[in-house]
Amino acid sequence: MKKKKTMVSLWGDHIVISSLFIGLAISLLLVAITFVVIELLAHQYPAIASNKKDLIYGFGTLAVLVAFIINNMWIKPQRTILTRSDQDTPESEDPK
Amino acid sequence: MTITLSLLLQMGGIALLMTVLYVIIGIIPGTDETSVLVPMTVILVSLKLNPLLIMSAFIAAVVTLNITDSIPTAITSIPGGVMSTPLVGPSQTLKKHGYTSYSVQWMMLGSLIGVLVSLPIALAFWGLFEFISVQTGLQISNFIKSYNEYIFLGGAVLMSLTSKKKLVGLLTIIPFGFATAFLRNPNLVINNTLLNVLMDGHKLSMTPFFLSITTGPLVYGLFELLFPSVFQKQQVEGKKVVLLEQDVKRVKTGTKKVVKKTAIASALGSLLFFLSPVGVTMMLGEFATRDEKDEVQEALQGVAVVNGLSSATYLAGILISLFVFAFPISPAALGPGSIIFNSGANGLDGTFIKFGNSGLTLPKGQLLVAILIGLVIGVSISVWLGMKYSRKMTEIVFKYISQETVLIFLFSIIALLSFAEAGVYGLIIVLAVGLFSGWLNRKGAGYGVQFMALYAGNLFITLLKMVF
Repeated sequence: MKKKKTMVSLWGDHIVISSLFIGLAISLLLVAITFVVIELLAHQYPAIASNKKDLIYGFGTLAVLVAFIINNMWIKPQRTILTRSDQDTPESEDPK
Repeated sequence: MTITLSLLLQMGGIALLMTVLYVIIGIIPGTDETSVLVPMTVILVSLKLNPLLIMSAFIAAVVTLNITDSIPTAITSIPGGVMSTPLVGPSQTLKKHGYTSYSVQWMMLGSLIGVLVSLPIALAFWGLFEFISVQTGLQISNFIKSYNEYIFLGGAVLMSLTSKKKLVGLLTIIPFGFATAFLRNPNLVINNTLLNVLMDGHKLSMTPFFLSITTGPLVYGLFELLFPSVFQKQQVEGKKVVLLEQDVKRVKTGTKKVVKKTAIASALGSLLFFLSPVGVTMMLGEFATRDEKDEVQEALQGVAVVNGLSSATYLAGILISLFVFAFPISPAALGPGSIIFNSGANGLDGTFIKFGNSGLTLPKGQLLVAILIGLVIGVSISVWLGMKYSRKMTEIVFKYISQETVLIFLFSIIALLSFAEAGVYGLIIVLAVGLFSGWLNRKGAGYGVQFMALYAGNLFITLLKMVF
């Protein structure tokens, strides 16, 4: 049987706690790799050393964007979208 | 610096990019305006882009977010952000009567009216101050600025007194202001070896503190999940059911009245730029619709007035703070605009504001061009998209963008910025101050009070030194 995911209501939506932390780990790992690579290259090349902070911001942001794309591929939104006419009474699922 | 055609095109390009990005972010439910605007502005400033490009991007993002925030509220009754919370009631009424799409259109028109009204008012305010300065030789803004720390303290007191939890706000000011001023430069108060090792020679700017305050409620919300009782309360089963409505029903009368009320409320809201935008929106929004007996008319006026007000108070607050005072005098400038109004540190100018709030780093005319480009692109595209494709856009975002990835993106940007700024100390500060700030927010001390206390912080250190 498929294991049930633990979900909580946060910021007006339902989120899977494990996905949040795994995704965050992936994203922070990519950022950390960026930091380490730039730091190592800065030791070798003076041109990189003089622009280290700018490079960290630029490539760090790129790493976060890449992580966003990767995470969005495996973390699926926990929403069921229903379309209906206005005449029905609206309902919403409340936290347990 | 001269404005070339290439620079104009770049301003247009970046404004377009930010408009598209913030249309998506605005539709995601629950996203707080300050939390999603500040990190992106920090990135643009850190990348050392031309300040005019940053200004166009920032203004486009602000207006787009204000406009698109209301779309999910109208369609699903989930607030798109803090500013759209007052829209939930009237939009539910309109939904009940079958006017969902029509209410989105009025929200868009309300925002458009708000922008069109607040821009001339802000410029007139600027012109009036310049006129008085030239005619009388009095530098009113310089006089006000020389007492800026006292003004921030006064602002924090005023904001506390106008909030629901007055006592909490008042009790927050000194401890929060003192704590943040101390953490920015602990050596001002004590010389501690452990702190010196942790700081590793770094001097902290305001950035980690801006990020801490803006993400505080979210950090605290996650932290609270560590407590089993809270976790059980927040735990949910199954996916969130989102109901998307489809209709084209319109009202036949009363539209002129809606436009008139929205314009008047936006004008009043622009003049109350120094107060909390949410507070002003709620207060004037309620006042504008109280005489209306018809439920649908009242709700329609409500959505248009609230949107007009939120756009007007935000825009007027930022423009007046920038052009008249060159320091943040409104909550909109203190919160979402905090990076724009950063006046630098250690004798160095900020991106837009000179060190010590002694003026702007760029000519006002050039800034106005950048602002107008951001404004025109942001408003025209988001209003057009909202009028035409609001339902489709909401469906796409709800279907393909998960809340987790948005939160991860936000946390990662904050980790990147705080670590790059001050290493491990920066990360610790963001977490610790974020938790404290989130807790205070939960207790009733809003962003406005906290930002004002942060700016007034050095005053408490000075007073403490005078006493001891």
